[in-house]
Formats: sequence, C-alpha cells, structure tokens
Amino acid sequence: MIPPPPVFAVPRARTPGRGWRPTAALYRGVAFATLGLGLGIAFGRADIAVLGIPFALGLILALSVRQPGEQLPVASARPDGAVFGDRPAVVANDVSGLEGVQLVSLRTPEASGDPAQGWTTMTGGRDGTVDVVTKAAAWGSMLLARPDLLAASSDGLFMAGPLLSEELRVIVPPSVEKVNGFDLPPILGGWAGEHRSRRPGTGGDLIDLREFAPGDRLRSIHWRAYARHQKLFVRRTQSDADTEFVLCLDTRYEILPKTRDPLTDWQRYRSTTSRTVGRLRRFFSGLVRVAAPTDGPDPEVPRSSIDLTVAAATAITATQLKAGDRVGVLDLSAIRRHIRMGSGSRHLQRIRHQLAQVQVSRQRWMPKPELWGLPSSAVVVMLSPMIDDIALQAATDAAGRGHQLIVVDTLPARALLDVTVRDPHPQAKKEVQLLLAERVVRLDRLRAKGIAVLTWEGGQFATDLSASMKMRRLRR
Amino acid sequence: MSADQQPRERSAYDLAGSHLEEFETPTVNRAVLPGGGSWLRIMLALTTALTMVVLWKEPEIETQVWMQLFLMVGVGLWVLMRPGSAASAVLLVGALTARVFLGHPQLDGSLIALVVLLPLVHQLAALSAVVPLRSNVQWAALMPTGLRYFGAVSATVLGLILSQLFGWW
Repeated sequence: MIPPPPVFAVPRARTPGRGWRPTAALYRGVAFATLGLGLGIAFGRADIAVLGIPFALGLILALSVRQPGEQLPVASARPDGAVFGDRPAVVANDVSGLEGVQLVSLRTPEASGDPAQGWTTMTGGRDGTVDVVTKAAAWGSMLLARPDLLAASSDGLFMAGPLLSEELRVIVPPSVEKVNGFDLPPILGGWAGEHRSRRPGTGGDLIDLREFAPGDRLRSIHWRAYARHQKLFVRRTQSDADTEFVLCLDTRYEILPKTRDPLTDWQRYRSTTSRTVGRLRRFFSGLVRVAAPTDGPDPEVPRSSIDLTVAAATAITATQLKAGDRVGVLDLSAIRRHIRMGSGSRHLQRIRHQLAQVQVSRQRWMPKPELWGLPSSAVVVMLSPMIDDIALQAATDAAGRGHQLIVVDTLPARALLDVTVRDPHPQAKKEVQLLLAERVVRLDRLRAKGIAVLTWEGGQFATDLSASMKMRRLRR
Repeated sequence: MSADQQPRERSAYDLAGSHLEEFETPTVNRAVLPGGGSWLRIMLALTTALTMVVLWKEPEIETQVWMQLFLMVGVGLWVLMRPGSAASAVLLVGALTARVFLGHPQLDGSLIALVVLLPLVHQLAALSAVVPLRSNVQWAALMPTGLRYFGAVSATVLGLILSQLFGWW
C-alpha cells in the first residue's frame, strides 16, 4: 500500500507559546550589566565596569523603543494567483498585529514544495505580506502552506510564539497534456463532431458521386466530373459524428517505482551518506541564494500508476471534449462517485477537479461491467495498470457487451525496470520481470480479442484505432 | 479525427500543462539574506571563537591547556547549539570572571576587544534564538539591532578613548 501522493504534513510545534514573554537575552543583558558594573565598583576596577556599560546602553536603547502590546501577531496564507500542477505558485503570507515587533519568523513553503521546511524572517513595525514562490504538486489535494510564526521585540528581549496558523490547502487539478484525439472507425452515433460516420450526410469523407437532383446544394457539385461527362454530379459524403466516451479508472492498486530499504550495512551506510551529502549541499547552497522552484515535473520524483491514470484521463478528456464529444468518468472502485456525460470547458473543469481527488482505493474488488451503467453507444476507455486478472476479465466483459473498448495501460513499466537496477534486493529485477511477463500475456489476450491497447507511460500514445477495431469486426 | 496540426489559440481547454506559455517566476524578496539564520550562527561561532582567543591565557602546566581548551570548545558548541539557553550567559560571566581574576586594570587591546565582542555575542545569541536556522532574513529585520549595538559599543569605546586622553587610566 502506497500513501496518497501529494499530501504533506507539517510538524506541530511542541509547546505553542501564549502571549509575550521575556527571553534569556533580557535576563542575560540585565544580569551582565548589573554584574559588570557591580563587580567593577566592588573591586574598584574600571575595566570590569566598562564591560557592563555597552550592555546597559543596549538595554536602555532597546527598551526605549515601542514594545509590543497584548495583541499577538496573526498570519494567514493565500495563493496569489492560480495554482497549476508542477509549476511555480506564489503564496502570499499576510501578517498583522506587528506594532512594537522587530522581526517575525514565518514558516513558509520551500521551493521544492515542502510546506514545512522553509522559514522567512521579515521586519515588523507594521502589517506586511511576504510572498514566497513554491512549487505545487502535480495534482491532488495539497497542503500548500501553514504560516506558523515566531515574533520578537527589539533585540529579541521579548518573544511570542511559536503561534500556529491556519493551513492553506488547495486542490491542484491535473495538468492537461497535449495528445491527439482518438481516430475511431466510422461510428453511427451523433450528428456534429469530428469523427467519421457510416451514415451519408454532410461531412468531409467522400463516398461517391451521384447525379444532381433538384434540392441539392450547388456547393456540392463536382465540377471536374461535369467537365468530363457534361452532366452535373454531386458529392456524397459521410456525415460527421460525435460520440460519448466513458473513462473507467482502475484505482485498486498504486504501483510506484521505488527502491526498498537497504539490506546490508554497507548499503545502509551508502544510502545514509548520500542523504547527508544531499542535505549538506542544500544547506550550503541555501547560504548563497534563495532557492527558486523548477518549472515542470521533477524527473527525480517517480510517477505512480495512479499519476499516469490521472494524467491520461485528463489528456483524453480535454482532447475529446475539444472535438465536441461527450465525456464521463467512472472510478471503478467507487462507482457512486462518477461524473455524468457532459461537454464543454466547464465540464472539463468538473472532471479535472474530480480527478484531483482520485485516491488509491482500499478495496480490491471491481464491480462487473453490467453494473457500470454504460450507455450502449459509448466508447469505453479503461485506464488500468492491468496487473491482475480482474481487470482483464472486466475489459473482456465490457467488450463482450458490445462496447467499443480502448484499454490504456498506465503501469510505469519502464520506470519499474529502471528502479530494479538500483534496488538492493537481488530478486527485485526478477519480480518485476515476472509481473511484466504476466501483463504481456494479459495484454496479448486483449489484443487477440480486437481490443485496442494503448500505453500511456511515454505521455503520448498512438491514436489510430481503426486497425485494431477493424480486426475485431472481421472476427465477428 | 486527425491530428491537430494547426497552430492553436489559447482556450479554456489549455488551462494548464506543458503547453502553457512560460511562467514568469516572480522575485519578491530582493533585500533578503539567504540562509540568514545560518549566517547568524556562523557569525556567533566566529565571535565566540574570537572571544575565546582574547581570553586565552598561556598556562604553565600542559594539563591546564587541555582543560582550558575543553572548556572553551564545550561552551562554544553549547552557545551554537542552544543560543536561547544559558550558554551565552555562562560564556559572558566566564569572560567577566576571567577578567576579574586574571586581567589587569588597564586599558589595553584585550579590553577594547572584549567591549566589542561580548555585546556582539549577546546580540547574536539573542537573534539566533528567535531566527530559525534555515530562515531567509530580510536585512531590514536585523538593522535596528545592528544600529543599537553600534551605538552602544561606539559610545563605550569613544568614552574609553576619551578617558585615556584625559589620563584617567
């Protein structure tokens, strides 16, 4: 079981402070000034008394400026602008109640997107805002910031905090990757779209020519045929068609390319050393520049099968909606949380928002296709890592019920194989190879039944489905 | 449907993703000291070390050398690890005690050095206690403390120099 991907946790402060309280610096300053001057007078030593003078002067200067009142500073965070997945996002931290405060340290999100590890110290005196650039997770419900704060009066003589603030959570809809639309074989549904139809009508694909008859449109006259035969002919074309797509998400498992814990002491030592070196590098680079978030997905962060499922579903939805089709989404592990068929840009927003909340299911079962509630004319796109026979059986049953079925394979197979090279367990490679071999058999069985199987891992797939679907028609 | 080869206009379907226009990363905090919390501690370490050097007394027995080194390094590390604790007070009182019992009642370089360094240790420890280690710090947040320190120390040093000129030592 792999935890849901883009949710972070912020450690709680151990003992949240209440109100303003004197710090060790105040006691230290008073004690040293008193001790220095007192010992100097007692021993008749001017050099000892002199050491206490700058402390006394510093205290007088620090306490003579305005001190904070009873009111405690308050911080809140808000996103400044839209938040897109895997892209820099600006978080504005508004801080108020800073009268008499010299400095405030705010917990701010890091450039890498971790909301807990970054801190920014800002000047006090009046209310202000600290803008921090962080990086949003690829998709999902994300804790973006929680601006806990620690405030100090002049010279840190009094302090307040750590004061806990409200969490800023955002739902990051998945990015829309650009793909080509499905090139479906001619279909019978719909009247206005970008698909071909088997029905004659107004469209782009030529069927044949027929003689002109009263009522035909002049623009459909084929003038070259007229020049050859001296008779008027008009083009007969296939009608354009739109169709319905149902995206069925298999969220029963989440496969994440990841190495396991080291086995031997040497491997453990190497792993620890590598982590320590990385931390030191980040620390030293943090001394010379404020880190800026990278734009785009981090190649170091592996993408799980759920990530690929969501990315593929978003891309297909955007493309098909743009082509004028109607798209619905069905989570096969929670079929009550489906999205009905719809079209248009608002529907895309609806689907992206719903996809942002997809999680791996705790249940391992999948309802039978007769319970999926599929419209008879819909093209079913099943997105699954296909790692067990339940998914295979469901796909076969759905195709057997007469639906046009497209299976999109969302297992990060290449990344899994790459990870096994670094995995300390010697049997890891064989395990993955066995898993992939079983899958190959399953996918071949689907292809043998004329079901189009596409692979998403590369971020793009072949969309000409005519060949595979034609094979299926021939089998009938 | 064939591949869309035509240049596309931005539409509601292109709300996010790799085909968006380049994102202009805003730079908000310009007058910021990167890793300011760490720099404060580095400064604190240097100041503590300098204070130890000023307080160093050449002992006659080798064991005392090691004991003195052990104490200095121990207190220095304590100050660095817990700047908000009593470590700085121990260091300052230790310096004062050393000056009382081992120093000479005269105006010399070590006295001026201590006048500069001891308040600096105090201020840096006070700031380090309220600024987290990895915090980026706006320069303006440190400026008031710097000005007060500079004012207090320069007034004291000026007084020392004037008193020397007047022959009060």
